[in-house]
Amino acid sequence: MKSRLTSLWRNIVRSDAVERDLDEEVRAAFELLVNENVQAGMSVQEARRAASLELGGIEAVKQQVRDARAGALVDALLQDLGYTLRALRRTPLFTVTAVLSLGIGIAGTAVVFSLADAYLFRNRPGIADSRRLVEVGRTDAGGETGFYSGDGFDTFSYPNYVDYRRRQTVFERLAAYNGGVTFGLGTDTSALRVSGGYVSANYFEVLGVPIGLGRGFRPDEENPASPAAVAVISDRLWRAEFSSDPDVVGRTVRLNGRPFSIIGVAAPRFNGYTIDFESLWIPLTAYRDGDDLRRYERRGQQWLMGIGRLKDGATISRARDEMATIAGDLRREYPDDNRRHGLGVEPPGAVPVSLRPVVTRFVGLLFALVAVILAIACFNVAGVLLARGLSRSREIGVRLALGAARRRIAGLLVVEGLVISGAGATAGLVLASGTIRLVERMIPMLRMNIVFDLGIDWRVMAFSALVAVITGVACGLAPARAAARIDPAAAIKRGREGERGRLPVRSVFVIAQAALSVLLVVCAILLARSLRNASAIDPGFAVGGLEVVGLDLRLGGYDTANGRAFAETLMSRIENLPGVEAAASARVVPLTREREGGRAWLPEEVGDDRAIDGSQNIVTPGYFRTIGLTLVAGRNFNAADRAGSPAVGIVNETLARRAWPGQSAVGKRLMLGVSRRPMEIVGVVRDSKYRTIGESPTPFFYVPAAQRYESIMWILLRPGRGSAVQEVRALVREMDPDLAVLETATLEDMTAFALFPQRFVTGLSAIVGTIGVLLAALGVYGVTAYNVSRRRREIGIRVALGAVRRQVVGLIVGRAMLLAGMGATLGLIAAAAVSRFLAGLLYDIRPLDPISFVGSALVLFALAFVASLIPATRASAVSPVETLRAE
Amino acid sequence: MPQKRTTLLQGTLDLLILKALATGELHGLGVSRRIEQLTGGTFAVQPGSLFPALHRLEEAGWLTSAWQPSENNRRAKYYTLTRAGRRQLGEEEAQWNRIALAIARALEA
Repeated sequence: MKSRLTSLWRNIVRSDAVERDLDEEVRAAFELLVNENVQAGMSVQEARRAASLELGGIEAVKQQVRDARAGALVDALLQDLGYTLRALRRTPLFTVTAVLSLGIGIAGTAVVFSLADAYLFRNRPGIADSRRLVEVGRTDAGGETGFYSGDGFDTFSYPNYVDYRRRQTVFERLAAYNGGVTFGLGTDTSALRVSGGYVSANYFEVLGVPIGLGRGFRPDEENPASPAAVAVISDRLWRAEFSSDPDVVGRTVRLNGRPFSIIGVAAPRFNGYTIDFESLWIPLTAYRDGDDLRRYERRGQQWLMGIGRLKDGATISRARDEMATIAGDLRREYPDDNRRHGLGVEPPGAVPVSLRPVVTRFVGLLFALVAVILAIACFNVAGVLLARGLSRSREIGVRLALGAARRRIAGLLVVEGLVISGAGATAGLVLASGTIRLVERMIPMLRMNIVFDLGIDWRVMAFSALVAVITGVACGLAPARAAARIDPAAAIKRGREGERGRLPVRSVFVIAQAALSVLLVVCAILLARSLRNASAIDPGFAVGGLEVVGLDLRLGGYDTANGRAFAETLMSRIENLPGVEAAASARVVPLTREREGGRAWLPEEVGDDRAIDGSQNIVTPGYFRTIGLTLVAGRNFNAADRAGSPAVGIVNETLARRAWPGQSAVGKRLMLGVSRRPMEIVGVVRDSKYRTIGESPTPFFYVPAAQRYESIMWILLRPGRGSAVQEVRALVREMDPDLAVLETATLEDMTAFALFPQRFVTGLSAIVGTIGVLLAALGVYGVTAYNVSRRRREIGIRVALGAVRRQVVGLIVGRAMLLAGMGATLGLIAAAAVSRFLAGLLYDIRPLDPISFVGSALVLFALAFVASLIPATRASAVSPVETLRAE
Repeated sequence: MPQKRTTLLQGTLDLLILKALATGELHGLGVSRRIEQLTGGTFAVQPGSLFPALHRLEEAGWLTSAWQPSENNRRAKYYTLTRAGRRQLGEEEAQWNRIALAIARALEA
């Protein structure tokens, strides 16, 4: 063994000496043979010939020894590597194109895998030993009667939680939480909005999150009878808002207006268990509020999710069984509240259980998209490698004749594929990390406070390496197989290997590429046209020039009485600000996909079938003027419409037509909601778009804010010049320093976000489609150039026989267009099958829109035409004498 | 010389090489000739198999090599059995005998 290792070392490190040694040894053997033969009586010439016959060729013998040596494989690999690198360096254009196209494909898979990793495979950061953690949630236990509300894996109530905790034996500890809750956090210096959670006292212990500073919750702090106003903050919040102050423990802050004492700072990297970025946690029972108190006592009020840490030796299935039994017992004990309440136990993950199928589907879709690009790129590279391999068939023939094993030749070509894909993977990872950073910068635009922990960690790199290896081998396989079949004598003589089969492999590649890229382009054009349609729709009011400031008075601790007063004072002061031309507040900002539903009846009608199902908004009188909506009948709200005075409302034209066709709606009455509150119509306003730009006309009514208090208010501003947002913020701060502003934006930005899914998918498919079709064009170029070079003699003869240049070019381009045509046909068929999945995202466009289909075929043809024209013209320009002579 | 070229397994080649060198050192060609002699002409090992085998056995530690002047006054690489090689020879011999016995018994039955 030791001897083998030393030999291996010597073979690699002192390979020159070893080579010289070997050479001398074999030559010496040869000379000895010659000597023998001479001694036996042959002439020197005869002796040499006989000797070489017997020896079998010095080089061949040397090669046999080399192959049998320790480190032969490594040696061969290094040799192939060196050769490949030199060969690739000699053809830089091909190398760069191949590496880039594979790089793009691999980058795509890396980014998508990173997404999948962050949301499906990995766990939330900061949690210890997540293997023994499980999620616990309410499931539908089925049953003959009763209505089950909720998703497949949902929340449960506090009294139920207490019973679960008391009765279970399979967990070390069972915690419950209500996460992703928005709090208004007021410190001495600022007021901001943070996401946080209500948690049980054992929460941090269950998750295994150490508390860096201070302490976690004590069991007695979870007590409905005496709520403890204590909070644990996240490390991130501590650094950002408290400047890592070591004395933060004991400080008082205001949460939604109430004083809370900070008792601890969680370890770094922990941001809660939900998908939101949580910054602080308070005990489940911390809030004593008129409304909130009920939720500890009502067994029927579902608001908690569970996390348990299994005992050593307990399995998930045992936990499932036990919790199902407990749930069954509770169903019997509380037949009304716990009707159909089962319990489910699921492994933990970065995404809540109910979202996992959606996320998986989304990621799967992305993977499919990216895989198509990679496939196109692979076809490209494989095709070119094939061509190069075949054009080197003479060289390969020589090698084979000199004794090289076929396997090694094939191996060389696979190494070539691997080198290209390896370089592509490296380039791809660089590209991927850049893309991820770009995506991370786009996240704030999503207005969602979710954790985005994307990155290129070792798992992504390992995955990319795997993809690279598979790709490289795939790309090298076709040329390797072709090379292995070369007959050395024929190859050396003829100089090239004829392709077998009616439809050469390379052409099949090009057809596949063309088909795939046509598929991508059809999707891209469909989405782009749809987006254009969406942008062209008139919303019915002025979107430009307006700014929005959002407030939630609940975060400042306001209730109905003082909230109403505050809102009125605030609005009147805002209207008087110098920088504000017009201002109003509304419950809902139009075109942001938010909807406040409203059901109404004509006074003489009852029943579900006669209800008018529409939407509503709660606005101040200045709303219509600020946003540019015209009243077509009646009057606007005024100061007389306030709490205590008769309820009034303004309807839109659609509702007016529906309820009172042919008459004026002014003066008529509507009964609102299940309680049938009467409302008198005082005005009719022009129709507009309310929720999405693509919606159909819908009944809508407005209610004065003075008569209906809502804690959420969106202040719409028309600034006189520039921006008025800072003035309004300053005003809010002055009136109440603890009231956090939800957000500020221009109306344009907010409504643009509503189209974000479409924009994102359209942009993505446009990029992907462009890349795909360019790669396919490259493929056409490559195969045409290759075909041209193969048929040089034929072309030369044709020209010599009098063919006009144009005919020759036509012949070549025609062949390329034929390939493109076949590919386009396949691609269009595939597109027809796939495009109906896009139907949900399309505005005003059929999935089988003929313009998109024809258009993408035309794009491919155009590119294929250009791509094939270049080598064709070049070929036809060479003089026939040269081509014939070169053969 | 026209011989019947009976095929030789790798393991048997190793055995024959070790045996050939049991009596003293030889260079590559010499080993080939000695094997021919020992087997009475039945096996003529081709250089393409012999040299790789010699190198392999050397790497395994059963042979060592040294450059020495040969019969035509040029240098040649001479191989010698090491102590481990001698042990290996004994083991392979015993192994071969066991196999031969077993097969003989099978053929008699």
